[in-house]
Amino acid sequence: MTRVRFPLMFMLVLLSACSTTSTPARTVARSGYLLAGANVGSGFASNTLTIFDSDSFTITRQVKLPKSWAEHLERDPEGRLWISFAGDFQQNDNLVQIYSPQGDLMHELRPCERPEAGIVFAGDYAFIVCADKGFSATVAVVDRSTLAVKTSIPITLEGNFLASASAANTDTVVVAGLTSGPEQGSYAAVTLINLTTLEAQTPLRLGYSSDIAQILPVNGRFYLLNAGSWRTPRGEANDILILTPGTPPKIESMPIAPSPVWGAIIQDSLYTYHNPTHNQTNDDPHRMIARTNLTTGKVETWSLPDNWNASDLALIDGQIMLPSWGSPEGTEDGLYRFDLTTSQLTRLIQSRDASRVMPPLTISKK
Amino acid sequence: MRRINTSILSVIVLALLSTSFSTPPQVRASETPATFNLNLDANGDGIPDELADAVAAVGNTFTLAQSDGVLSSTETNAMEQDLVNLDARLPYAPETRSLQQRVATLNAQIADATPEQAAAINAEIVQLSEQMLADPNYARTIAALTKLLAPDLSAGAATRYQVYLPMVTGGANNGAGVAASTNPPGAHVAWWWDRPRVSWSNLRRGNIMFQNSGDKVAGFAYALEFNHAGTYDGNNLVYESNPNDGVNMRRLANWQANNLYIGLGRNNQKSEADVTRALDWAKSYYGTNGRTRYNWWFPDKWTDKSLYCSQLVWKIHGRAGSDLDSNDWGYFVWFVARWSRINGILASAFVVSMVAPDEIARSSRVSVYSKGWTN
Repeated sequence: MTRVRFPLMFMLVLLSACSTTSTPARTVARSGYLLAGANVGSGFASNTLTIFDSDSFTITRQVKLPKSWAEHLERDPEGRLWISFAGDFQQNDNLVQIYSPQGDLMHELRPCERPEAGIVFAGDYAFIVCADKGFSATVAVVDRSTLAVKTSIPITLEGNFLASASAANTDTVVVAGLTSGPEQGSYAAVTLINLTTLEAQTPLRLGYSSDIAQILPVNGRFYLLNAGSWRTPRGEANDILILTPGTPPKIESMPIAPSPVWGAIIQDSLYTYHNPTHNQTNDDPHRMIARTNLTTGKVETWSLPDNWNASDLALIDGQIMLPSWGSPEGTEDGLYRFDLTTSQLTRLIQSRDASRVMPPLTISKK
Repeated sequence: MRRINTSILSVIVLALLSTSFSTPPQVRASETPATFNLNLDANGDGIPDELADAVAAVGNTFTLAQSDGVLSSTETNAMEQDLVNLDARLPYAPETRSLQQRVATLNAQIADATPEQAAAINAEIVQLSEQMLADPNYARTIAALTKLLAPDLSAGAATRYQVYLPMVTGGANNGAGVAASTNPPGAHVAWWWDRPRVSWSNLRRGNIMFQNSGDKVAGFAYALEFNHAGTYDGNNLVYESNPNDGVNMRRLANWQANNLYIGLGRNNQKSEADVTRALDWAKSYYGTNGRTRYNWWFPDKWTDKSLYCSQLVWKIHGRAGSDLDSNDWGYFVWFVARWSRINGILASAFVVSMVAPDEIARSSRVSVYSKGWTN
């Protein structure tokens, strides 16, 4: 019986493979991706990668994911999608899955424990940033051709260093993390990894009320979104910390609005979503969107419904996209568009526990 | 030297417990009380009247016995007798009693198991506990006891409130503030949770954090209200012990994830300085390199070689001079109703020698100042 089944299954696999490879290139180029992967209370029952057409916002495929905290969704220069899994309160994880642009699982890696602080790509490598046990961090450097771990870079700091975010440009990988400090508050530190030597510099402490949620690389500099900035008086606001690599690295502060946590940059505009409760000891219900002109420094803000939690921000064809979670039974969860002209939130895709969004490779020609 | 003393102490206490409860008070056949009629609920509060009365009686016995701070053997026997009677009156199906026996057998194996074996045994216990809920009388009893003993967890779990989407604000404003919002008639109505939210704004370094991550995350099976505990280390970090990691540090954001029930408390006997000093000691003593593994043998709360979540919290406050293991009578009742006997002794003896998150949360030395859901 088994012998009869095997050729049939083999044929099915072949047919399946043929069908995915025949997906038109344009369809792939206009595919957006929505990750649902952070509902620990439900045992990650809704963990899914949703592939959607970013012209019509119709779902083209949904792929079930392992039941583990799916922290990051990133796309490498080859177009493959990397998803990292950090486990839950009972069992940590070290899994990174790599999917084709069509959503087929291609590879699985287990580079280091709790890969919860990002996957970034530079040179021939993927840098997977792991929190380990939370006292120090490890960056696994993975060769993107062979997918072998070339080396592991430890990041340590007196007290502790719990990695929280990362980014890369052509020369440098930046890793931010939380560390200890003398007062009740938050203290972050940042380290730079030289792409030639693959060594981490001694972490640079960012001072009181710093907690970096996301890092955006732009024109050789890094914009650090500081979720901890709500503690700082507005006159000294450190909402964005601009890091310029060098010897020594230079850090400047830019005020926008308290606690930016997710953002994206297009042309000269920085769009940010603000949530002063994200990883903070704060109950402020206000949520907002800000647009900052990086040349003039002009800042505009728009309010969102109280306690309306977005878990990422991306721009698709110039429009702000916000995945949202946390509604009863997930009925209102999904991918929302925020229209700056009308200040309207419109749900485009229903997806329970939506947690990350990846825009398509190309912009619309409409 | 200290470790030797602690180890000896644990052996002595476990031996005492075994001796003390190896011949627990028995329900004689002639005195066997009738099982609870779970259908009697005159006030319609979802808690069967006979069960509620029996729980109140246990509470009275325990409160009276513990009122002078000294437990005589007569008082101890009275407490045990109340629990034995309560256990005997629970109208569980024979299959449920078999499953409880199976859990008892499994538990006896954990003490000598490797961490991997212990994890597997624990997972099986969690599965068995879910199977028990197929018995409607068991499920009803546990639900009623949860409602009675952990009312905050039971309240408001399913209520919702409405907001309006899309939302129209006053439009863009120039960085100075947030525009006032207006919700036009006919706007799309969306539903959001309306239940107590945990308040994070008073969280201070050294505070105790409790969590219920729901039934879907297999782990600590012995949870009434909370299945996990940790210590806020300041700087948006939580110092905790988890099965796979042992002693480790996590982001506060992990505790703020979707649909978690959280309690935040502080030691009301010791100053913040005393507690944070003890926290610093713990971080030094148990290491920040992951060397202290998870302790799967919950009744050995005295060991320093491995730690479970609430054991780590208990150790920190013990260092500060506070014993936060309440041995709370309500937790005893719930535990006996859930598990009956473990290792051949009444389950309450198991509770005496472990320190569950619930036992700390229910300690009179802990003020839980905020409870609620994350969203």
